[in-house]
Amino acid sequence: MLGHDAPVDTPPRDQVVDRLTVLLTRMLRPDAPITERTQLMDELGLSSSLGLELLLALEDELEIQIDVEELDEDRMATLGDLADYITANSTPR
Amino acid sequence: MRDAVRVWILAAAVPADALARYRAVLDADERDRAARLGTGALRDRFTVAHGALRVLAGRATGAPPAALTWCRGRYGKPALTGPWSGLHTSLSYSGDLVAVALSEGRPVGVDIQHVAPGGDPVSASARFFHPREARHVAAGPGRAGRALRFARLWARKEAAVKAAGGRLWPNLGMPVHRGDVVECVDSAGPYRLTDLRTPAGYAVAVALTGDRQYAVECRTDLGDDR
Repeated sequence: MLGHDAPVDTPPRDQVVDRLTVLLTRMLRPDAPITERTQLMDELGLSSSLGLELLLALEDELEIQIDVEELDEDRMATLGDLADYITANSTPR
Repeated sequence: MRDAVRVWILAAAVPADALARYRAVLDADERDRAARLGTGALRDRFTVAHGALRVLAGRATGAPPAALTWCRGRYGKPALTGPWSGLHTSLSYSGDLVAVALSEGRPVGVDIQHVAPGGDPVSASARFFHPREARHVAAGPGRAGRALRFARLWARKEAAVKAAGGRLWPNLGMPVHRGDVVECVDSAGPYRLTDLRTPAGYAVAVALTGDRQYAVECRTDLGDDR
């Protein structure tokens, strides 16, 4: 039985990767398939304003809140990097 | 004499001969970055943006454009190195346009935003902006009006952050709607913003470090003797 201090569930990394892949494919319609190693800015040309749109859509889909205070370009170089950041810096809402 | 910033707003689509001239002044790293981009339009826009920056900074410094070198700050802001470090540069591109800004003495940031039809500016501003700014976006006239208000605020925030050399995300809550002198929280300090007249469907803002007034000279071509 879970107590009041049970850890809250954050989405597993695989689920974050999957949803990011779907959302980016829908938003940017890239020529090549998107993978964890796809570079968001250097290959897809993701702008910061599209990045914000992406995070907002992900928050809605997974019903989470992402803490963006520590986010910077180095932490979202690839899709895998961004998935790592989100997995470590989000809370259910 | 007042400080001055020069801004060029340029078309990203250029004839093949002009594109080749821009490509010729890029360094190996820039050509590699251009080649990695996933579509021809992205590659060409990158080449025009970085090529134009080199041509314009070369004119301002008297250096050959291909010889200029930048180093990256803690959060990635590029700064001219060595004998050219007194000239501050900033670069932005969005949609079909490129913006280049040059400033002597005061660090500069420029940002251009294509007002995209998609997205949800009301939810985005409610989630990430100051509450007063979120209300301003939500009260915009129609869908296009709300998108334009969001893009204008976003360009102002990003221009200030680029002048500061800081991180965008922790500064998204920075109020920029009322008053042109704003305070960044990350790389703390005052920055003076100016909105620029732009083609329909775009928003452009420029920022210089410090609160002193400055003049803005804005052009839409290279002027051109290249």
